[in-house]
Amino acid sequence: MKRTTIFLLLLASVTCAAQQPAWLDTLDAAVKTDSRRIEQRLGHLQTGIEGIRAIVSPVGEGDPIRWVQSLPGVTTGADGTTAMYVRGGSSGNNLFSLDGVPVYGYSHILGLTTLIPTSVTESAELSKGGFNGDESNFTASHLKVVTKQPSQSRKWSAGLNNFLLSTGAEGPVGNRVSYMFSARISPLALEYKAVKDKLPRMLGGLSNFGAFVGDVYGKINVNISDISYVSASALASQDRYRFDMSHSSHETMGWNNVIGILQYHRNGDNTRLAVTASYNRYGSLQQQEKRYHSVWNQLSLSAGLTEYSLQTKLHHSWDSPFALDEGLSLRYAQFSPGQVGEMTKRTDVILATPWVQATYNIPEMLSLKAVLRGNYYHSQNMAQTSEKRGSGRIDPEFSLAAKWNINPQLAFEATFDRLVQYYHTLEGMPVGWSLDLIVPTVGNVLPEKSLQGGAGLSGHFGSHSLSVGGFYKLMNNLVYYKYSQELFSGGLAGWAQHVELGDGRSYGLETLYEYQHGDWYGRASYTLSKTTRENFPSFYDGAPFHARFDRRHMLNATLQWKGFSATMILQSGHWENGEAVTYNAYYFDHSFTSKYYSGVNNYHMPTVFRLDLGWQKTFKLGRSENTVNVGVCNVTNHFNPFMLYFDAETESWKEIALMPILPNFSWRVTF
Amino acid sequence: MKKICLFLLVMLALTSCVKDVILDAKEDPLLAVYCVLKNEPVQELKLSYTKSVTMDEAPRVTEATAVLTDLTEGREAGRFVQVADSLWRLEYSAIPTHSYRLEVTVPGMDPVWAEQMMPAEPPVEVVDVNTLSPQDVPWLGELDPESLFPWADDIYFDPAWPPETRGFFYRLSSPSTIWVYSGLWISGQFALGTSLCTDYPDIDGINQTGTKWEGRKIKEEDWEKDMEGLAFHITYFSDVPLYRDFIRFQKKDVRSQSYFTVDFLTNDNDMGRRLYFAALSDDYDRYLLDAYQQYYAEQSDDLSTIYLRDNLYGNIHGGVGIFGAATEFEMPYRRVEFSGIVWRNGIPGLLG
Repeated sequence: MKRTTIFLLLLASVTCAAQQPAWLDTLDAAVKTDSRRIEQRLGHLQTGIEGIRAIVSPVGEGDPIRWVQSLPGVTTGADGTTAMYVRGGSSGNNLFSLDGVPVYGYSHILGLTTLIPTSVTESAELSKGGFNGDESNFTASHLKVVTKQPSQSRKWSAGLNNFLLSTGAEGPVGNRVSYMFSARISPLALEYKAVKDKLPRMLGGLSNFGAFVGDVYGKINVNISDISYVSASALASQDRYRFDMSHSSHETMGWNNVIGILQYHRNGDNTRLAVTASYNRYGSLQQQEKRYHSVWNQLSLSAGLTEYSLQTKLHHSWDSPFALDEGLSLRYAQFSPGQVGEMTKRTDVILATPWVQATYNIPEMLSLKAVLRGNYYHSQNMAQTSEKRGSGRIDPEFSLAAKWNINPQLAFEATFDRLVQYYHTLEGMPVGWSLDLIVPTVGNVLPEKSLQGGAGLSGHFGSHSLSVGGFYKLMNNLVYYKYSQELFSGGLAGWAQHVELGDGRSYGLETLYEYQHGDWYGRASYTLSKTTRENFPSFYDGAPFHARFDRRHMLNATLQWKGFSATMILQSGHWENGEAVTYNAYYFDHSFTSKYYSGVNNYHMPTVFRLDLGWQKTFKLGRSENTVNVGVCNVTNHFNPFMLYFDAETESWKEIALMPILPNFSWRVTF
Repeated sequence: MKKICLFLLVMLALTSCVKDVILDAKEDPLLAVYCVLKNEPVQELKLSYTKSVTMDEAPRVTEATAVLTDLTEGREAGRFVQVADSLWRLEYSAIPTHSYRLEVTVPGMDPVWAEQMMPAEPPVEVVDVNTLSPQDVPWLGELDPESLFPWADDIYFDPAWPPETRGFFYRLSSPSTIWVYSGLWISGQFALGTSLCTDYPDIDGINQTGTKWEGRKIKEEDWEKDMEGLAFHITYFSDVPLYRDFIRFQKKDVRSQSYFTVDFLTNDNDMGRRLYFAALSDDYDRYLLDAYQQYYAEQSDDLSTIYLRDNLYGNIHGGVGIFGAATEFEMPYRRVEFSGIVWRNGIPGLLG
């Protein structure tokens, strides 16, 4: 009874309040009209750390991905995860960067959050069109996370939420040097040990759970002069899980990142220079041991990517509406997808991208931007020691953006982009995570390309603001890994032979409505879209079929009053591969049952609905500042499937929901 | 502290919730057609419906109109007649090189159809290597050998060879995709031979069993005594791979100048042994390769087959299944048996 009472109390508590994402116009013409609503420009949205933290999340406080998932044009992946699909692209078509350096395995804690601690985050910005010159090697969106500069006063902080324990510190060292540090670790394994005997039924078939999840971030800033500084930062993360879904199924999975960044900035009156050198290592692993028909099957998948990059960016401005930016990005990457414990093929890649960006801006009237990028890409298979084959190619990209202020209340904006992506994420795994295998453009696996345009109107009318826009996007050379089962076999070394290329098409309507009056704030975003894939030879003879996360309707709504907030998500279900129909077939004179799949993504999953409630309170206690978030995700306990898996014991498919109803709590104290 | 522990316990406990799901795409049943035209007096057609995962059993095809049209001659070849549950027959022998169209109509559905061309006869030459001495057949010299051995295109014999020297050799006279399979007729039932081997190089290896014909090596000094009653081919075939169910000669690999032998594993009682050479239409060739893989994958314990989504190849417009064609011939077969002396010296003009 006591347990039930406490549980009900937890359910009754409510979450976070907060600030909402702020719209940022990166063009100088944008004018901030009040604290919550900003001039909008199609394609670019930005928020600060408070806006990120305000999002209701299973881990008690939001993160950049949660914030992005609440915006128009963005489709979420499996419920509760950090997967996102922007304007019909695949999840691997998005770039997630930390201070301009790509983060390839950004999900954390089984995809519940991201690996960037909010304690070191300054802002997040999502670009969907009209991209800047220094944004390259993706075809859908760029989520840019920028870390803050270390404080000049000493601070120490600690935090606790459902899934993470954290600590951090920052402060000066002398006059010119400052530092920042953060470390987080998850007590998941301890929580499991505590609960496994007390609530065995509620754990379903889960047993023998083990986890090592954590991350460390550090940054040192050195001011060279009043206009220049150097910063060095590093991020390391580890996700590793082991669990049994039944006595005949053992699972191991995990991924890790190691990122090192060295940056030099010089900010003159009319010229700004930024140079960034980075090291990036990403690896992933999945293993399964399953007994099927009394035989143990051992399946495994691993992937590795090591990347070294150098980026320069130079900005010139004059006493005129005209400004010019130019830069160069150089990357050297080593891809090594292969089976665990065996020598794997390695492919080395060089990607050089010079770019130039011109902007013309007449304040409160007209803004124009034109970007031209050139890519030189070269890949070489390093496994063939006797005959190292290489190939190179050149692909141009461009972006255009325009904004015309029709009158002080109403603006028209448009963007147009041609984009190229050389790193592919192979999808098709039954677990639904798409970050497991990143492979390069090589041989017949051509670079992915997209051509997209968007246009719309935005207006402000008293307490109300509304933006309505449409987009149309064509995608080429989308990759589909035909034989997902090959991911678990020695055939992985020959992945390129099983990749099938096809095209995609997406179009839709994006709307965003905001209301603010007094302590009330409301926001609703609605997206109506259709996304298809086509010209894949193996499916429907090349005819169109649903993209996996082709959600026709997506509605996200938030209502806030003082510290209270309620968030509602209503989305069409995504598409899964339906089970086959069967029929009698014959092999010589032998009759057998054959399966027939009319195609892929032909089973429509049920509608996703989630209502999250939260409450946030910040208060001082002595010298410390405390922030508490409490809330409940999925208050109505709606069953939103997280993933499907095949139960080898019962030989049937099952769907698992990650958070049927999930109280959350976070507490952060800073001294 | 106790409250915090309980809080964490509840939260984690709630993170797993599992339900069974049946991924039925709710698609309408399709007509499944299986018909392989052959150069035989009767053609068979098997019809059924597809069954979704939520159905207990597939609906039965109780009424159908199936018409075979000879497109080459521009006339109806005949209409199939239902003779049993799901089975229709047509008394008609398909003509090699003719094109055919099969159209099947069942009430309530659009007609399904497919077209197919009967392949030409397999371009196989057979030579009979034998030994008959004038003492055994005194009238041999008076007869034309071709009338004496009508099953072979040519005969090689040498009275000087030991009497057990005999066997059939085959040659593909033009590039073609040929399937060779074997079997036993026992009490009117045909059983597909499970393992075959050949000395022909560059065979499509998809159905290799992974084992090899472990022919017994015969010492030279044992030749004389082993010649009596011992099939010498086991040395001849030594260390060649075994193929499951069939040997598939790919068109690109055919070397028309080479003679080869074929053998298969059965019981010693060879009275019912049969060997078939068949030219398959491209569609049926592709179907049968897929069917081979699916048939054995179905019996596999490999979990990865769960994630296979490859369809069995088919060519039925509006339905599933196959309308194929095969021109097949039973070939004279006799286990190759050579004395070591003959083999060592070679057969002039044949094996050299």
